Amino acid sequence: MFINRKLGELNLKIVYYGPALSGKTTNLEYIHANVDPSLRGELVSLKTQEDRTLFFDFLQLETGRIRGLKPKFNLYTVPGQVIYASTRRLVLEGADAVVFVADSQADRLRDNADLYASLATYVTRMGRSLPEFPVILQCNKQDLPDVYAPEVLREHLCGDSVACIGAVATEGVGVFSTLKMAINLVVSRI
Amino acid sequence: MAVVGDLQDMDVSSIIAVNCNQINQARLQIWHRGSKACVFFEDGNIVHMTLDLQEGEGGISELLSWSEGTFELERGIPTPRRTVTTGWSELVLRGMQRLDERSVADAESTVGEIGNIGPAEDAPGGGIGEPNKRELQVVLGEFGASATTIVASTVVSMPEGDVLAGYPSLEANLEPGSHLAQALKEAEQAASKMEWGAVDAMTVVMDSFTLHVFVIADGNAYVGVVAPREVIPAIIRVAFDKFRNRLEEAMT
Repeated sequence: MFINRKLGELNLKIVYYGPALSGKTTNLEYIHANVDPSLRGELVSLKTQEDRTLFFDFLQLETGRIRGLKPKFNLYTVPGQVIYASTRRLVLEGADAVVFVADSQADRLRDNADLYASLATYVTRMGRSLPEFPVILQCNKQDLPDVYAPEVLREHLCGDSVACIGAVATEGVGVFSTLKMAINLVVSRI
Repeated sequence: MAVVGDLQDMDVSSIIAVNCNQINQARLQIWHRGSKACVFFEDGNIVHMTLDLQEGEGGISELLSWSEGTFELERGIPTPRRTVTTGWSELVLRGMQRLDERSVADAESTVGEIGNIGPAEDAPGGGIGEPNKRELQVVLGEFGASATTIVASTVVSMPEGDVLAGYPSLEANLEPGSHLAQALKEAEQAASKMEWGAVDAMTVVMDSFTLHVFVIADGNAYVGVVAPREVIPAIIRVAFDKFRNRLEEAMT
């Protein structure tokens, strides 16, 4: 969270975290394409070795002002590949909430578990505890065969204290629902 | 009035983020091992930077790699010129990505150097009874890269406590190696007295992290693995078992 008094804005950061190719980029691209262009910033895309890191910001006017400030959400994805550890740490710094985008396919469970554990590591290093950190679990790719149901995947990864939602990001299913859950979670903690 | 500080208290990316978010007009000077960088902030972005003789945004990765040094921040200093046009978030993220990519390349190129330290120097392939440090380093690197749950790992000889290989770097694991060797020796003695058989593994649970210690090479070495406390031990055990045989082979 960062207060920009000069612009009267409350900057809030939501990070889309998860293994490579789980659908983080698809989520952000869909959101960017469907947010009022007059309220959003440019979608910045940084190419990494296997996928991309994206970020943009947008003013969320539906929630109204928060303590007299216009809420501006900065959405980021992290590069999911193992080698980009420092970049993930940097992106996570100052995050107000994390959307963990898991690939629901059974054979990606290990990748999901690895990245979820790495999230725990970074959160701990930031002096915070993962059980108290605002996280939404998005179980993406629910349209594919051989996938875990959201509740089952949540049980494998993080237990039932984390809110979870199924999604098919390529079709936009669950994308805005996830974002709204994250925004509500952030706003409720201010 | 200038703000003076140490990079160990506030890192470069944080200083940049604060000044850009606050839309400060300021000059940041950083000194690091004989090098000097100068960064100018205006309009919520970095507008000019120098690193020694280099001008412009090309020096951002190098600057982000500076984890020690001192800095001085003075507000209200206008930039003498504009050499940076990329937005600060993009600039810093690109710089950090390049740094990550460079770290991997450096680690791969130093495997050979590490393999030449110590007794194995005269026998690069690993002589009889001598550990092949090069191979140990390679296997440990693959083990570390295979699971992001692994924060650090090390191979330590028993009973000497010499560090034979380390992940992510050899140096980071030197200090605790001998202490843990001693602790493991004590545990073995205790188990022996109780007639409980040989010690196969040991776990040290700390506030934030857990140290998993696996005995290999018939008790002639151990592998220490540090993971976040939240990670259940079975995950680390399963991950380690995939590399155990190769580590055992590299020890002989």
